[in-house]
Amino acid sequence: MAVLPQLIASAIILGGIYALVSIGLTLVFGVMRIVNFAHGEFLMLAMYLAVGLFATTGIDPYLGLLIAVPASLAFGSVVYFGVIRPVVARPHVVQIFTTLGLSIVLQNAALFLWTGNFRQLRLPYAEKVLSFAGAAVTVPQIVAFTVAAGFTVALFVWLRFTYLGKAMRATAQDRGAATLMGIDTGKVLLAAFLVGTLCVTVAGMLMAPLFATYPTVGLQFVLIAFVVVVLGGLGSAIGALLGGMIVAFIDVGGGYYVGTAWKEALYFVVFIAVLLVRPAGLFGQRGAEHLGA
Amino acid sequence: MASAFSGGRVRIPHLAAALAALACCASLAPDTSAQNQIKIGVLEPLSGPIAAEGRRQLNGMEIVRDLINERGGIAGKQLVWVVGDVPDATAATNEASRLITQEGVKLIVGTFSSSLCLPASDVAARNNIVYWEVSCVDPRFSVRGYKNVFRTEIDANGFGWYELEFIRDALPKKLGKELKDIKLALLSEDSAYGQGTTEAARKRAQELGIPILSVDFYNRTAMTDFTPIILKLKAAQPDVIIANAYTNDAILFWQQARQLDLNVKAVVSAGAIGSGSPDFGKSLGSTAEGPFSLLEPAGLNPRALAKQVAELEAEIAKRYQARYNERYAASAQLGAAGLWMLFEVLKKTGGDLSPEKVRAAALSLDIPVGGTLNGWGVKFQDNGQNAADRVQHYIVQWQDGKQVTVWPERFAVAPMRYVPLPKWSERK
Repeated sequence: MAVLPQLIASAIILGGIYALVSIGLTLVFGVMRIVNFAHGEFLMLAMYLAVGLFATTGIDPYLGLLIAVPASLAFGSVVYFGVIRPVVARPHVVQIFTTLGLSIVLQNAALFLWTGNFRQLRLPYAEKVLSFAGAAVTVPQIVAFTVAAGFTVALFVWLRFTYLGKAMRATAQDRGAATLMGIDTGKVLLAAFLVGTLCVTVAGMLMAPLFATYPTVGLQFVLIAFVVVVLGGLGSAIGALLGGMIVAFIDVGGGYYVGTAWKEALYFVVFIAVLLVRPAGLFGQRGAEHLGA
Repeated sequence: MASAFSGGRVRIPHLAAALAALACCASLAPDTSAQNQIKIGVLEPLSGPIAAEGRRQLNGMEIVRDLINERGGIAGKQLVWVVGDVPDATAATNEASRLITQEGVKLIVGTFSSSLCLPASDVAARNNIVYWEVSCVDPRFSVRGYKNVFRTEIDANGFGWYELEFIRDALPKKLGKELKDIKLALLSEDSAYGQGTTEAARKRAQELGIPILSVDFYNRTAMTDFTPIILKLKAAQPDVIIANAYTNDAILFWQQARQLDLNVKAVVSAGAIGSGSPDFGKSLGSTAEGPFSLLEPAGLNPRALAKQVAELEAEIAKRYQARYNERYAASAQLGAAGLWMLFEVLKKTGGDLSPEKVRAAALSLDIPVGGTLNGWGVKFQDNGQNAADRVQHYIVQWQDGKQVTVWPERFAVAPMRYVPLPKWSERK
């Protein structure tokens, strides 16, 4: 196995996984301006759903998406109307403590319901290692990357060409002005939250065969997701994919050429450097970097 | 009815009167239960990333507490405890303070993790009460000059030493190589446990003249891909990897080792986590078979144990399996053995928890290897650390879906398998 092709393949797959987790966050963070600390826990719940479905009914996580998608919309609606909507117009500290509280509640609920044990979803066909251009990859990795790329393109097209997408971008840029232009920002916020929840649910379902599931697994990915979202630009799907790729390439390349102990330091240096030059992130639209918008 | 709560609304004067009456009755009633009890504090991570192992440790202690109480308690008093959940270092400090100041405990047992035992025991030492650690391995724990802080488990230096002892004793013959020709790579997560163990292993390997090809550390909470490390290891081609990991990272490493076809002759880790955790075997199935884990015994040859210890081990294992529907292993064994040692000490003090009495009794304990739970012995040193040569450790391996003790030979219940490890392409 050649080193370079494997490093590139692993980085692309990891970048896809980071993007998958981040796409949902970029909508919630970018459009709603809510720092959703519970995003990682949404991911965790989806991973438990995948593990649970497979263990009890034998439904694999890809087929399980048919159950997970409607479930995520229902769950997203409950959380939106029960927890998020009451704080949308409140100061950021209130929002931060609300979502942090939600995160703690969900983590502990998982601990109570499923204990702290680590669970790994083992798909029989996932054990097979495929060789692709000199790199070893597995089916769940290919699926995760393909879906990430597909979601990015779909979301890009949706945000660019549909009325709701345009309304969403307008809301991201300036919520007040968008309201004055006749956009029902309430609906836009709900749509952003639901699509965000749906994306992270799909991410969780696809990641369950790749990573162990446990109540705090979300924490492992949510910090990286925030870096990816800010790096790529708030509210930008392409930004999330590119940000995910940048962080993953630094992660994998830095880990190999510099040392794994340095990888976080490396991507945070790049993160700070990019923000110094482009405060709105790589693909962020003007105005989007102002949290008070 | 004119109750304090009538009409759906609480009438303050009535409520106050009711509460005053209750308080009065409570103070008049003789508090017989408290007089017949010895109350201690227990701190374990029951939420947060290592909750699974913290819960197992508490479960192991619960079985032993119940056994102690069924057998007449300590000097005729029942052992009871107040539990504090300590997911992180801040919680360890706060909960230790709460147990001491609000619950009035005079002795604290804890805390599973190397990131928790230092802050918790600092608080206990400041308040001049006894702190009894059953599993953290941070080497700094016992070098702070505290008189009332004890640890029943070995520290990370001991882990590193034992890992090399296993390699020295068991592998040259199996691999058909001289010890000095066995090439070693070290890989570790970067907490006090991982770094302490790995540095001790590195030092011992150098003393033994074993060549070390690489040393890599990583942050387990941010580790999402082992490709860089595995590719470096494939290039370096070590014979043996010492991989000191927690559980999620151990699972990911081993999965990716298979995917990227990393073939080595043996993998050794230390502790009740990583490949030593029951979750490793459950998560990976037959793929889990092969790595060696240094930890508490997974079955012991009864001939290596004192008779009453063998019976006690069997009884605890049976009750644990029945109550928690899981095999009695690692974290639970650390809790059980540590609490049993405390029981031996408190029998000598007659249940007195004062630091001077506990210290004198602890230092006077002298039990040879095989004389207490886990096949351990006891001889506390002046710094409160149980002597490393008394805390016998074992190499355990997953075989046919079960963990079994394979080393040292006199304690083993099964011969070791997979040395050298078969190539991934040759495994089923």
